[in-house]
Amino acid sequence: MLNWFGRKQAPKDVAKDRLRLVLMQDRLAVAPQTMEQMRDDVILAISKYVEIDRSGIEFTWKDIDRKRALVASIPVISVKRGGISNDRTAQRSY
Amino acid sequence: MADKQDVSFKGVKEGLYLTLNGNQDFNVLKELLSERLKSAEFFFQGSDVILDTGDTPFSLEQILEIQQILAYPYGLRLKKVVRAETGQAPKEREPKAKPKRQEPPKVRSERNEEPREPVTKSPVSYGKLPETLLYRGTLRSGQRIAYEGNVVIVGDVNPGAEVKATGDIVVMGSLRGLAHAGASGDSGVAVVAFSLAPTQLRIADVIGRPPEGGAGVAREPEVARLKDGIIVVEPLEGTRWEGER
Amino acid sequence: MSETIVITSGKGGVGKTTTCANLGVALAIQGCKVVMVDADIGLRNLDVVMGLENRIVYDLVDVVEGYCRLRQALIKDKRVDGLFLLPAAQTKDKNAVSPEQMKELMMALKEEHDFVLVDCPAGIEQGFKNAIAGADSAVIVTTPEVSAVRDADRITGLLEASGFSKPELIINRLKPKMVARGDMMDIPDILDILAIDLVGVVPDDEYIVVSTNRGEPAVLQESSRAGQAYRNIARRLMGEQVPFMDLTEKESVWEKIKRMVKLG
Repeated sequence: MLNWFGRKQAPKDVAKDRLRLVLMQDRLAVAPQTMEQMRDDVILAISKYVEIDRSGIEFTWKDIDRKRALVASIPVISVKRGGISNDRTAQRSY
Repeated sequence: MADKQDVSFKGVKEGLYLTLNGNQDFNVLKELLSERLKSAEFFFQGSDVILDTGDTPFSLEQILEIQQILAYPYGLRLKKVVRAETGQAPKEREPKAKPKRQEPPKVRSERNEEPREPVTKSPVSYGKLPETLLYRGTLRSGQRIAYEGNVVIVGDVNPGAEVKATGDIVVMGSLRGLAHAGASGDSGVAVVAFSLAPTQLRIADVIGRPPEGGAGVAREPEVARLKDGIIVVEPLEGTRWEGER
Repeated sequence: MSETIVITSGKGGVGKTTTCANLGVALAIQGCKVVMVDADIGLRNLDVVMGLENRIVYDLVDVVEGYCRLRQALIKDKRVDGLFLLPAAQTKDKNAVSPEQMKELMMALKEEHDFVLVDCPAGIEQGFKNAIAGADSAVIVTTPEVSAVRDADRITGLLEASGFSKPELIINRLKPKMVARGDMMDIPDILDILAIDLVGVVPDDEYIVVSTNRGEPAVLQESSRAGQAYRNIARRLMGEQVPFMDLTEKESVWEKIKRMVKLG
């Protein structure tokens, strides 16, 4: 019944999605903390040059033919001018 | 004065490493040994034992006596007698002081023994082990009893389990696994079971298996014996037990 | 040329042993000389599935340890010519054999057989390492379930790391009707995730249970759908191009109604 109205995902798609997620973690075997740290470091590096929207950041693994790719989508708000600031704490207010 | 240290057991790869303090009075040692075995009966049952007499040599009679205590009723087999110069047992994990529960007793991996040269003779082959080993419980797949003598099992022998004896085998239950009687060549032995439905039966050097398709299992105790080189199965009732072996 | 193929899965209960038995029989029927090796030491089962359990005298461990000659331990199948079984030991554990010994054994078996099929134990420990040692190629068995596919992925990774360049996949116990309803992952879904080559799909078939009970592989039963699938896979292993069976099975109107009523 829900097939027509509620558009509940078919069980096989649920399975597929869950598998994808699990496998991504399995294949990588990178601890979540490590992931987070990596993410923070990347953000830090990028935000030296551009102002970014932190809430819109996507940072995930994609599987392409049993090869893993790290895919980051980072919305840029504006390009920083006046060169590189070394003051990391001041970046947000720039 | 009796000391707990006079008799000590350690679990090692080959079985149990038993150290006796030769300076202690032999009768005291025997008593201590019996006590220890009794208190840990289930834990120890069926293992191979390596006896370490420390720096004091034991007489043949004494070793025999120890062998008897171990063998009956605990089914422990004295495999080797050593005299550790250091007086220290090899470093292996100590068994947990208390018996966990009945570990599948008789089951030992016989990797170091020769499966084809049926039952390993203990290096100290003087003296006689009790003729019959009594085993209470079900022998499950992968478990194995090998004994120099007769074996009586009060319980079932499941498929995948093996019983090997140089003498007769009696299963007071269902025999569905493998039984090998007369493992060292005695062809006058028998295999008896309340329900005889083995995967395979061996008597001396003869190997038999149930007929294809299976004629069904008799609902009465049966006995399998060697007759003219083939294994013959008959109802137990009415068969005469030929003499005493 | 002869080939040693290890049949593995990671997860237990997906049908490795059944697959091994059926492929063994199917290959032998095609005229190949085949030996099936039960590498599941301590938990042997291939003998029972083949109905040869009461013929075992010597086993793999006996051979490896030198208590008997290899030929003595090989059990000839009672139905098909050119098919042999090397049973596992039941009263010993996996550590009784080393990968080096297995390699040696596989070499010896390859000399006299066209196909050596190794039934791998579940898991990724010693037993797995032993089973893949000396194998030329690997067939991974999975079922269309999340857990089985996940383990198949893990095994694929491990096999690739061990130098198996192209493990192939068998999808077992596919239920075409459930697939049609979208209740079960379909073949493309699984292939998409695992990204390895498919060598066959075996439909779920109740006859497998019967055949296992009897100790007669389903391949011997002409009418068994699973048996047909295994026959096809065997021919593919021999290098033939065999089209995949059409497994699509639409629900009948009646079945659809029944399901609706149940759900509604």
